[in-house]
Amino acid sequence: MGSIVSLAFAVEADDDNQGNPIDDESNDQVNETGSPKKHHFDNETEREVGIMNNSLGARIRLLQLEKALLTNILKGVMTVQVLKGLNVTVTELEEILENLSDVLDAVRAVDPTANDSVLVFVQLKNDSRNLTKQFRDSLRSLLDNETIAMIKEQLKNMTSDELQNCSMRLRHWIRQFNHNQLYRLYGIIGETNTSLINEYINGNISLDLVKLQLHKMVNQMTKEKRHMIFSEVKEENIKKKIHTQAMLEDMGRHGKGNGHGKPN
Amino acid sequence: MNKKIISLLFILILLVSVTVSYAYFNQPSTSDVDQTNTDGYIDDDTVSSEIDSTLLDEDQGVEIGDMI
Repeated sequence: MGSIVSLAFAVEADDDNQGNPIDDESNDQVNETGSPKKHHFDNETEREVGIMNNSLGARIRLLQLEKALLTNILKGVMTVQVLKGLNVTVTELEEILENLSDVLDAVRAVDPTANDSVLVFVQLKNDSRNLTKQFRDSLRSLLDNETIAMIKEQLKNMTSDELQNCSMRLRHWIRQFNHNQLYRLYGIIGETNTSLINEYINGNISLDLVKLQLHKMVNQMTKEKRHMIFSEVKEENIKKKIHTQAMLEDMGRHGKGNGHGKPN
Repeated sequence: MNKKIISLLFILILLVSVTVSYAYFNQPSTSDVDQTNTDGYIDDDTVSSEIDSTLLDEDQGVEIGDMI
């Protein structure tokens, strides 16, 4: 009975998601008072926040934000170097880069186990997006499209030790997260042979291969068993969605941006 | 003559009523269709995608936009 009620909620939740598309631009901006627009969380942010109900999920999202910031700062610094070589004034761009570095420090300082980690993540992500947009807009006002395309090409394969280190830490925690999820799934399925999970956590096989094996395993089961697995997994996913919605609504009522990414 | 016409009309109405009633009670109801969809076969892709949604893609990241 619980599963049927949950399924009904799922359909409603899916409909809600489709019914409220929020355009990308609206999320690039913060209103003039510095507070985020109320309830305007795009599907992407909703998805990201969905796993932050535990410290491992929060750690992963914060690390992903750190990686995105590191990438953008690296690109920004290299762009500024190129522009200096072309005798272009870069004061404004350097200021934006300094602000982005401040946001990066703030991201690194967040405690993933803290109660407000989700709120801080959303605020810092908004700041990062705003500053990135500011940089992009400033650059477009300084250079023509051809020069921008030339710089873009040069930055395509850039990397740094810091970035690689961040990627490695991220991969480690994501594997840990998937490891936990796979154990839960095995519990539902009733599978006791965990060699596949161990191979994955040791880095011997990819996640895609694990998924493939899991699909094969489930597809070989009886219709009733498959139905039961589907219901249980769906129920868990719906609970998570409802929790996320409640969290975001609460944030919409109380949250305020810290002003790093305040547009000019 | 009038009696014959009335009788024929009556038979015609009766036939139409029987046909409509038969059609009404034999068509599958909407709730039956819903029931079949809810309790019936769940295809492999649906189960697989539900399972996949519980796992995190290693290459996916947080999107903050491009600098250039």
